[in-house]
Amino acid sequence: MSTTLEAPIAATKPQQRSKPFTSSEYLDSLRDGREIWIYGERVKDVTTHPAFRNTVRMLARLYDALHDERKDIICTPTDTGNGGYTHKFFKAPTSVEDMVGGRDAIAAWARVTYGWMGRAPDYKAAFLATLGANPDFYQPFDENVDARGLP
Amino acid sequence: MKLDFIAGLLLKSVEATGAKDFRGVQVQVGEVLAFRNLFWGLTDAMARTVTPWTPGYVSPNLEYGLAYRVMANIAYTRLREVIENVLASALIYLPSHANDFKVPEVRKYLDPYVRGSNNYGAEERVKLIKLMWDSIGTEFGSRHALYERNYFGNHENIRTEVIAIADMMGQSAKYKGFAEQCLAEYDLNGWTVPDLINPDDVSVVMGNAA
Repeated sequence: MSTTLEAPIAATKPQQRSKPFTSSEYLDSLRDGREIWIYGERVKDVTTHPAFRNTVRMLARLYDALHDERKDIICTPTDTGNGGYTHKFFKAPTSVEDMVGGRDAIAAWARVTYGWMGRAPDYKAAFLATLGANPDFYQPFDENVDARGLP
Repeated sequence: MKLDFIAGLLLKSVEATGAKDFRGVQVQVGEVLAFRNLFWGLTDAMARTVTPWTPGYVSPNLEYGLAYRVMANIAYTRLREVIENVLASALIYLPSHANDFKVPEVRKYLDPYVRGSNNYGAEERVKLIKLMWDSIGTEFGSRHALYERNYFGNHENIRTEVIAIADMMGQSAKYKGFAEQCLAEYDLNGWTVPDLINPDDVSVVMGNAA
């Protein structure tokens, strides 16, 4: 277990990050006093509670996969200009190559949990990747979803 | 990836039970592998025959994606049925806990009577079949089955939406047109096309009604 004196990573501005979480950063980010209940009791720390600790650790393995030899299969550079990278499925696809790359990244990540993590973090990429590509769909709130409108 | 995992468990489980060489078992295991290949094939088709989207962007092939939804609803249910058919009581007679193997008084019975075929020892067999049961039958496995059955939407909408999209994309009209093309090739008087020949010369009924 790592300890940190700075502010939790999740609280820093997203623009300052160019790399995805490592597994230990991910685990740290969960120790933020979030409100989780089970068996009628508030959970103090999901990373140590017996009901959640191993699920959380399996999720942490997903983050490990973004930093080891699986990185090339799973990740792609971002277009924010900060030299960062992310899971391929978060990129709005412009070609068959993008699409197959996204599929392969999904599969490689699913393999980490033996296929049993139904809603891994890439699940919502199917939705998030539509924001920049199809902002008109979200009218009259399209300005909120178009990344180009962000400061 | 879950199908890869379950396929691997199933192939090992029928080795352990000794049923792998029965033709009836092979028929059903083959079906499970075919489903596994079907879904990987559908993801290939979705990713490689993309549908144009907003300017500059592509989306997965919509028709194949809709087919995936319906097949997933069918396949997972069938998959569990096959596993329960071919493994049957192997999924039932399992010791209660790993601790049973650590007690000599119980272990002496487990080793000879719960051992598997094809050189699977008792511990190896129980470990394997318990993982399979956790995949398809326990509270965890059953929740997953319910999840897979409904994941893509309720069982009705995932089907009716296939028609709605086919109507919208003009596919329904195309399919009906294809059927109509055949219907237009004949009428009450026989073939209406020049290259096919009426059976007037060999039929006892043609030509007698007039």
